[in-house]
Amino acid sequence: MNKDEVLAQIVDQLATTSVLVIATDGHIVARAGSFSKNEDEKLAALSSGILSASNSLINLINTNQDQYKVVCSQSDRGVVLEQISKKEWLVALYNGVENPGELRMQLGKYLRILRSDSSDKSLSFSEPINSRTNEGQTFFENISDEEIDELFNI
Amino acid sequence: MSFINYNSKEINCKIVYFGPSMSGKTANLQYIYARTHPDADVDLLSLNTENERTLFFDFLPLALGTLRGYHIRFHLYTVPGQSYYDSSRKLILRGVDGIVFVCDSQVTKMEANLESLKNLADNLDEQGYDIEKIPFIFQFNKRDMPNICPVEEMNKTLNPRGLPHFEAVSTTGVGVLETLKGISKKILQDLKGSE
Repeated sequence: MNKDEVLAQIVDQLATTSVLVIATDGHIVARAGSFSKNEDEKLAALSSGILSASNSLINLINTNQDQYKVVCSQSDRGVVLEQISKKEWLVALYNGVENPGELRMQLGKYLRILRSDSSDKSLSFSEPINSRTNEGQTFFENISDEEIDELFNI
Repeated sequence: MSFINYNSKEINCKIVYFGPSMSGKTANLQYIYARTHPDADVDLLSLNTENERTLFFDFLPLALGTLRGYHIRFHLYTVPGQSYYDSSRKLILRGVDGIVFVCDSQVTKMEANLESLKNLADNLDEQGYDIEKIPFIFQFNKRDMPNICPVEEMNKTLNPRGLPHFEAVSTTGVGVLETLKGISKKILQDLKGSE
């Protein structure tokens, strides 16, 4: 099972509305579920803000725990943010779930797969972000003002 | 750093509007939002205090057209300007691809501009960025106000490296899109990667 399938299973089996994997700076690495792209981006930006703030809070209280979770819940709906790796977090949004506590427990088994060795390509996301680097070839040489105007077209 | 998805040919970049309190950072995003999302299918996300000052950040996802076959998406963020929100500013600068420094052109605000610029340099340095290498432009905002600094003097004081600068009145939109296009061009020209 690759990691995209894991995300799809979280949506199917746990009745979550939307599941994202986000980088700590708010970029979306992978997604599954029914939210629109724009809503996903908003969710990712907010989650990244919450994570940054809670990470600072955790540092303030000086815990030695490597991993922690953040839960925003309101009766049968909520958001769970769980760490996958140093750079990636899982964001699971649920709605209409009878037992959110059970859902959060069930998430654990999927997280174990997502946390598995990222050097194993069979366990990577099928639509990966192949590059986020400032090295390599220049993408767009000599961009003209006309190209930028056309890009915006507003 | 930018996110490049080779499969879907999509590039995501993060732009941060930085500057002193009440210099017009949020007004920039509000104008861009009004111009680019007339059908309001996207919200401008603002985390504000009770008196409408930015508490954490404003966020606007901007899906543009294609450039040489790649779909371009920019994520625009503002930071809170008040000095006591320094921790928030540090967090928002993570993964930044380009910075618009929004200056208040009023003579009385020059010290605040300088203080904010120094804060930016410190925060970038703390996170391992080199302010001289990151795509960076200035916006001299509030050019409609009385008692403003001449552009030459603002460049001399704030922009000795002679980086691109744009005059603006963000509340009416003057210079706002020009600024955004300016930083976008710099980011895209700077973009590197390997499949």
